[in-house]
Amino acid sequence: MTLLPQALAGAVCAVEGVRGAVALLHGSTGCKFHLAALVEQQDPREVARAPLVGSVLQLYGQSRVPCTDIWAEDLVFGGEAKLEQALDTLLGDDSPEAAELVAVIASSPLAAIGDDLQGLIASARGRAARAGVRPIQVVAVDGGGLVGGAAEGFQRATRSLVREVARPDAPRRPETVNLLGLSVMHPRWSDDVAELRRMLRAIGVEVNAVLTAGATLDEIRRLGAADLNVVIHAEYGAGLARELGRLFHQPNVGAEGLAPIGLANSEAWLRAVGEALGLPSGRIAAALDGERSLVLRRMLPALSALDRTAPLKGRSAAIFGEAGPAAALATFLTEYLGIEVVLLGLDSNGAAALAQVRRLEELIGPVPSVKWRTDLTAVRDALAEARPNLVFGGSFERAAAADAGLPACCHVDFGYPLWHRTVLTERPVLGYRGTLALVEGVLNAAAGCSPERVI
Amino acid sequence: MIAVPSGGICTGSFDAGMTAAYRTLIEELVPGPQPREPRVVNVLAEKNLYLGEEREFAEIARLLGGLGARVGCRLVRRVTTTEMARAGAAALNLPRDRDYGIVLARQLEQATGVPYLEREYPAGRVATREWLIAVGEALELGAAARELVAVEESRYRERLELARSSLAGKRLVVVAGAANPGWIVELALDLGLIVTRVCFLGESEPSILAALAEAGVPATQAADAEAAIAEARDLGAQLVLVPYGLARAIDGAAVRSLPSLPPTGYTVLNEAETWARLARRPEVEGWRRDADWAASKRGAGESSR
Repeated sequence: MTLLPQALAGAVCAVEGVRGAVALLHGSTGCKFHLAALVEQQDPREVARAPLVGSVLQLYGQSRVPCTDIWAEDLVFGGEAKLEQALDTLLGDDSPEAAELVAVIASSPLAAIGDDLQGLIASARGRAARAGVRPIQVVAVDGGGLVGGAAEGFQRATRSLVREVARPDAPRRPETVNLLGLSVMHPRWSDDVAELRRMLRAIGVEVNAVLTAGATLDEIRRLGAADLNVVIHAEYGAGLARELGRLFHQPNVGAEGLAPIGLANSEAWLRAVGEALGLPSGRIAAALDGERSLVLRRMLPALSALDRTAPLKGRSAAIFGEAGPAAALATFLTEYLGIEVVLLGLDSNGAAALAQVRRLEELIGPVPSVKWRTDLTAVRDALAEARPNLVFGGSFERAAAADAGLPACCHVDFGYPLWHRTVLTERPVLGYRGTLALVEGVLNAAAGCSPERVI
Repeated sequence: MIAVPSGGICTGSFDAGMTAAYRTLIEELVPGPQPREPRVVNVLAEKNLYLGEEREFAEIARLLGGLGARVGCRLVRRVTTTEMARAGAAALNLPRDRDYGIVLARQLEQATGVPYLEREYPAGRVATREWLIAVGEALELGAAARELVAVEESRYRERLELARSSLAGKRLVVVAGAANPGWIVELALDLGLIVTRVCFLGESEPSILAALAEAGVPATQAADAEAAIAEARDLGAQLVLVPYGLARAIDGAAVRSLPSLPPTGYTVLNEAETWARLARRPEVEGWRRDADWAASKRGAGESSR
């Protein structure tokens, strides 16, 4: 069984991450159901639950990702009528909760049959204008069709949004940056945005816009105002950085480096931003020292205590996730904690993913086993063969590890989905506070799974 | 309800209390001789305070399963009174160790007539082979035991090869506490390590020293752990194994704190794989360098006041 995030998921999450935007899926309810479930889990909002049956746009009790409910005959004869009806319904909504922007995303079969999205959108806008309703922006967004994974779909959809929404004449905002390549699909994304804002504030920098997790339409309109584009996850943001560079002549950092996961990577990321902005070196150094001291004050006593009884050095780990975060985590485990990564299971592919893995191997040497976009049976078999002391992954990998005979205590949550756990506290993945959360998970797993301790 | 004499805090030691408890449990809950079940064994005196005990038992159960035998009763760990009532039906008792296991085995032999193996849990290739053959012969499964040994040793050699590639030719120093380092030296030699020295913390038994001499391994006695570690550094050791809880950072060497009890059976291979990982990456971890950095900042802060 293969359960890997695909381009359509990336595209939908790109749009749904924007406050005031709605992704209208021109496709079947099968696609809608799992995408809406993903969005509702990753980006929960206080809205009334939709009825289980009712409007064709909202089904299964899901209030997110409305859908045109395409059936087999629509694939033969075309789905224009249903899309027209859906657009008229959305554009005629004048409630306070109504969207400011509707992004039409065609699912793979609809992309293949070639419904005239632009024409239909233009007609719908015309009808809405004649009816005198509040104008709502409607765009056709490239959903990626059958090509690529979530990262590619995210970048394509975000590029469509940027081209439609961003203004070329936004007034400059000095010492501000855009954060690129963070999706609501990324676990703990809102805590990550808060952490990155906090880190940047420590060097006196503010965030102009985020693409796209938690962004507002106003932020997207003023994308061109920032001094610098900062890539968080290269697979999700490197292409966007190049696009914004072309549109607004903005420099970028982070497109070649590792995500800010773990202490060293977080420091390198923050230092790169400060240096790219030409900030005084003293300001950067003071901020980095202060952040590092705060983390070490909490982390070192716990690491030292475990080291006396059940050392981390010499243990082995398997990491499952997209290439970028997996590579960043691998360097942290190897160089900072002395844990050897013996198995990588990578959900993404493409040039950006390969570049991340190459970067990883330059830093720590080759990983004994690397699996690309493989199914859960192969994950289970790879775990059974490698028998790592620690497994970093989501709910699927946790189940596969159990099937492989590994103890539950050796699992550390990483990546997504994480359906087996509810987290109500702030718990970022990225940055300095993300490092504390990560080390906390490692220490608890390592201590729980260590047979060497004696009472 | 049964009364177990313990003497509270006034009389005797941990040993005395344990022995008294065992005696009482046998007297009260284990009936006399019963018809034998030929392939059933009991495991005696497991270490209930050791967090790794289930892992050790799992290896014993796996090896017995390979012989076609099974564990009937664990005296006394995760056992029911019903199981204890059947303890006298086993064909053989297997002590966990010599300290309490043999004591309990003798008590049970008197009470039930069940014989016992005068060996503790095996650690390492040779001891496990001898243990399996002895158990097999006691259960009249000698042929099965020899066949099992051949299969297990083939698998052992295969897994060992992966670790050998990272370890062969590297210099090893073992800092030994009270326990017999025999399984460590055997594993090290199987891996192609050069066992440069075994440093004992305190006196060692003559038989252990003789065995090391026979294997061509130099042995010394160090005044304390610091002296032993200094000796390892001076010898240019690339891998240093120290007793549980005594690990230090040594420049240029990978340091491993040994498990507090020897791994059972062929699970010594887990140690081999850990040594190999350490040898592949002997560099000091980032968090230790940060600990030095934090300490130097504190020192600078104090001296400026």
